[in-house]
Amino acid sequence: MNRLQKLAWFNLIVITATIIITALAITIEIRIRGYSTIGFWVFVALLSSLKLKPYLFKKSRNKVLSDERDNLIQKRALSFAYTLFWIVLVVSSFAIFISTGMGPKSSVPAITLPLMVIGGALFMKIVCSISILVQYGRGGKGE
Amino acid sequence: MSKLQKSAWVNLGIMTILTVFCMLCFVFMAKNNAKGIDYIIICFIVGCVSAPLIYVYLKKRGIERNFDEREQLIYKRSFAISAVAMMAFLFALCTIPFFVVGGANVVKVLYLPLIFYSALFAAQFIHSMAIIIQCAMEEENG
Repeated sequence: MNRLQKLAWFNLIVITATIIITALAITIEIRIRGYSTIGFWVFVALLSSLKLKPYLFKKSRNKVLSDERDNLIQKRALSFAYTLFWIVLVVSSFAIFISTGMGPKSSVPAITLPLMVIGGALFMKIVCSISILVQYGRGGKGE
Repeated sequence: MSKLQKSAWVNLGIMTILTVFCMLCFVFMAKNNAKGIDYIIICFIVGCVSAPLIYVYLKKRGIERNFDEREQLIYKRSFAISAVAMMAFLFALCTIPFFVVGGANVVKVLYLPLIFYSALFAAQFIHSMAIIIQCAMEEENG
């Protein structure tokens, strides 16, 4: 398993764990207190572990880490994630618009906007990671 | 003027006119609760979903084939710049209103499609501008 694959797996594991643990924390807190405040902090704390990647997966100076094929896979994964992000952005923004009745007075909670951005960013990261893993899976072991 | 520059200017012009026109129409129809807006929106969604797929298809067929190596490099660099700038723009567009309005309040649902239109316009605008600026800089350097 090369560095790119390790990073992709790390992204997937951290994001999945973040979603599950945050959902659990919010559910438990709402059951106990009726509202949730620590859910946000749990989310931020867990997600900030993505920033540990440079320390966990250090680049060694003597070794060649990526070749042309790796770069191509990375580019293709990014391009695929970007395209899919656009489609999801269009569908989600219009789906909310239609589901609320499309009227001029219809409104949504203000929290929807940052949630869309956070959701979009996580979605892109997940799609990119899965795309990298699938491409390596197709073309051999990636070593 | 090279082919790339010409296409960037054409994209910029057409995109600006279409985006302004679409935004005005959309706001007008939504404000007046016009009949048939749902059909238009469905058509628009189909168009927006199919556009990236058509783009990928055209790219496979070699839309950049007419460009030389230097132009292809400029095109790719501009695309990367526009993608990053669009993400930053989208982030600002979604977080600033949240802090201005306040977390407990509501925003008009009309704002969501407008965010999409703005992001689409910003991406195309930055892409075209990046191409034009890079071409101008290269010409200046000889």
